[in-house]
Amino acid sequence: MEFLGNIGLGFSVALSLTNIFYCFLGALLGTLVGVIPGLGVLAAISMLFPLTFHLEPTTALIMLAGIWYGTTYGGSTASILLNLPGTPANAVTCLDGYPMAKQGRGGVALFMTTVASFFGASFGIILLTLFTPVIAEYALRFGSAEYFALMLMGLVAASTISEGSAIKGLAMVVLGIIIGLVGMDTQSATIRFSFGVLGLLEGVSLIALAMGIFGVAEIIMSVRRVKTADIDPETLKLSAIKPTRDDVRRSWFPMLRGASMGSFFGTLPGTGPSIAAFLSYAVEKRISKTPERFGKGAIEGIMAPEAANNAADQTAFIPTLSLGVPGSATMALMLGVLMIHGVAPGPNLISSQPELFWGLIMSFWVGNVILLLLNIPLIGVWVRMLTIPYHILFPSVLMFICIGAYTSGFSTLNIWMVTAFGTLGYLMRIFRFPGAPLLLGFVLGPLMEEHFRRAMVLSRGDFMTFFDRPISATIMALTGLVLIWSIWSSETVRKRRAPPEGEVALARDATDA
Amino acid sequence: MKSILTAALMAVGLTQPLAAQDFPSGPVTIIVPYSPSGNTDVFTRHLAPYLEEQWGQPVVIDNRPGGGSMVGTAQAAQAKPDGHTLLITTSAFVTAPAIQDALPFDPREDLTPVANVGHVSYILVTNGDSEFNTLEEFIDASKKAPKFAATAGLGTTTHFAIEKFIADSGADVDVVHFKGGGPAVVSILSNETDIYGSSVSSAGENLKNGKVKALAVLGNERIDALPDVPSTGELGFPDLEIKQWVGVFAPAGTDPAIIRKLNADVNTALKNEAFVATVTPLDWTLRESTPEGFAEQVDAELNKWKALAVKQGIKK
Amino acid sequence: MYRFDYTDLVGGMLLFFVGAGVSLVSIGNYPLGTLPRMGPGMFPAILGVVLAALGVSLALQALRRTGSRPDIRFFSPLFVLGGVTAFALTIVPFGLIPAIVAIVVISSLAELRIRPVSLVLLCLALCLMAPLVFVVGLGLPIPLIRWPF
Repeated sequence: MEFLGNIGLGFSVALSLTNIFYCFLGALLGTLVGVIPGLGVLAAISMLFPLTFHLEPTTALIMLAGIWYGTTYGGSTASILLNLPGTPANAVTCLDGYPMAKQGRGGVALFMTTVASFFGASFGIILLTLFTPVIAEYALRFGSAEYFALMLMGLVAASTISEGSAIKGLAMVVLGIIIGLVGMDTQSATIRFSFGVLGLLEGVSLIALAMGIFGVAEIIMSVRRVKTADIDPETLKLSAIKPTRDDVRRSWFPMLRGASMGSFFGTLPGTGPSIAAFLSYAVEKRISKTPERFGKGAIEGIMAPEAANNAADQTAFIPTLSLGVPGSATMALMLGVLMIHGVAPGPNLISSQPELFWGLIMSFWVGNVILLLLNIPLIGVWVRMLTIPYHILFPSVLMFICIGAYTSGFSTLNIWMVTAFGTLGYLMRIFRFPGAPLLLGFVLGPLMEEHFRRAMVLSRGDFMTFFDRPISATIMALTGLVLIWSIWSSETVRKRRAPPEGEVALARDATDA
Repeated sequence: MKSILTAALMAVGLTQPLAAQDFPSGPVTIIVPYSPSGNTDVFTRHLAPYLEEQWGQPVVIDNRPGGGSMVGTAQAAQAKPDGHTLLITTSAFVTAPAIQDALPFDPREDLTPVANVGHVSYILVTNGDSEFNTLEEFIDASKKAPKFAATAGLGTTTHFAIEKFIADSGADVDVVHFKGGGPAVVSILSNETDIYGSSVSSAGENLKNGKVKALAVLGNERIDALPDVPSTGELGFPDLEIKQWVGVFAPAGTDPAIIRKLNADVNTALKNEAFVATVTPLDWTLRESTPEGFAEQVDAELNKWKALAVKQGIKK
Repeated sequence: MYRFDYTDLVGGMLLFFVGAGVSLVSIGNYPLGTLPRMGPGMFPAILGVVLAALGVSLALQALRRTGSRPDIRFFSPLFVLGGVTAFALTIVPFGLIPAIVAIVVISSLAELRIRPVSLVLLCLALCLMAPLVFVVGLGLPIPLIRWPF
């Protein structure tokens, strides 16, 4: 009964006019960002984040979450029509989506991926609703040692699993943590690495960091390289999107398998939607009786990954909301947003802020229904977005970045930080250092230090506390396994073969989700 | 020519009183150096409409959390001293300077106290299932095996409340800092720490459903919200009169006439029955004050906590 | 193809210097404390060492393999970052409109060709849209235009 009450509470929050409006706005902006290749979800969320400063935290989060799952819906459009993934999570959709478009079945592919997206998302939301409170209840037993271990595992997994080079990923995590330590130390009130700048007392701005490293650096690398699309409008008429009976029959099980795999990988730190989509495609191909159809326009090859990445989008919220430990860079950004709005994420969130928690989750239903409505009849509109020339797009994006940075605190210091992090982001591209682990380290670093120092006080300086406590010891052991496995595998892979180009790109981009 | 001169003279002569009479001539920003939805923020948000009503100008609340309230306080210290930027903060204003060297402002020089508006009491809480039921049992147990006390952060009033309790009771307790009252309460729930000086509102639901239990009220009198919980005064610690107060400050250099007007307007708002009815259930005890009285109190407390910090050796 | 992976070699060395610098600054300026009561310098000092070690191992690996040319661009970072800098310099003294014009015009130069008509239209459109969204819509107090002298 209490459960139904919570659902009711959630809907009453999510269905308020303001929240529906911002949910709609988020889904709309997300689709837009997803459709346009070269504009990532991280850059988009950090760019649009200042718009939410003046909103209630719940409303702000509903909108930002809408952007997050909206991009995955929109991202399939560019994959199918241009063979260019709108977001990394949609990369594998290119493999069969683009051949379908070339066969004149682009409309069918767009329609069916929207259905798969909705199915996967619904699956994810149900799991999120059922499991988050259970995990949070259990996590009330966690102490500082457990939290430190969990965060360490998240960072190690995120920086090594999906990365080409484990060392580079780890190095970026460490650099991110160091940047996160700038400002006043909460345990001793010492001001660290601020070099006398009063504005740095509060630390480096998350917004400026994300916009610099993901937004500005991306633009620097894309100028003069992105070409505007050329699309055949015939394939996109409403009459051309009707799937055949064979398409529908073939879609059910791939969708179900994709959604299950996506839900699982969404909750794990370091994996997330890109890996989920990639693996579910591999599974479909493996178990298919006609694997030769794959890569030539097999509908299973778009249904499974699109269900998987959308399910993962939703279940990624489970560790973030129940433990306060984000599994990916985007979730770290969400966590940062929560903290900036003064909400402390953690196992107490559900009981102390039930309106926020249940309202947010129920808004996912609202958002997904909106996306369904937005995507099917309006496919033609989204496709036209693909034809905006880049030379108009990038100065506009830069302007929004600058205004956003300035208005988050009305100080030019934030714009200077965007410049600094834009430069850092550009250097990182040159040296092929990944950006996502840096952001994750930046958000988790100060929390880790806090928990580590507290664990040390509580154990009276005994480092073995991380291995004596059973839960913490288990997590530490898993972390060690991930670390050893990743170093070993990256060594052997490098020695044995150079992976095919597509897979490298996918692996490189995977943590960007 | 003569009339211009007269007008100029009048203008000069009238400027001072006019400034206070015309105040406020635009929106007033109140800096709250804590996150939204915290104790202080909620109090300020309840208060703001009653000030708007008197001033006929919008009151904007600007949350500037960080550094245990010192970030927002530093920002207020640098604001233009025209009364249009104010600070509403807690007794952290007098406790934090006791342990922080490198403060970017001087609490005595850079901000002028306007009004002390009220306080909340602290209660010492422990896990609902813990073995001790009285404060005495806790003190005795700690002498056999040292215990841990949670605080809402270094230099907060909860931190000093615990340090004063340790100094006066001789309990063997190690202090562990958390980031805010919420995580500190969670640490009590998870048995990670053993005692925490909490406000009634942050213990909230957990106190009602028995997940945490109150051992004592810090102070010499019991409180209405928990009539069965003894005060530390009754238990033989008469000097543990520690409250978290909330006060209004203005940047130093603000016209004294404006300070007096602000003080009067705040006191008027505090008497509004509707306001009293909203904050009393949150365990707020409201009070009237004068700028001079509040300034003396601030000065005395700055000295008192500094002395305690030195005595307890908590200066890093 | 180069004989060594120079990109990773230089990258690893940079990481080493940053890490070493962070450790030295932390040890020199902030108290380290003890393990049960760690001071503010301990955590960054350890991290600096870890970063430096990761840098060294990256550089060593780079010596064992060949590498390709890094993707270095010159004009795009110059104009894109220059545009952001121009915005930072103009927003407070001159207001929003001049800052928008500055960033749009300067960053557009990164295209290395000038489209005068489309540039003017873009400036006009953004100068109309941004104040509508931020100043009118969100009510943010940013002056549109001001003259400091």
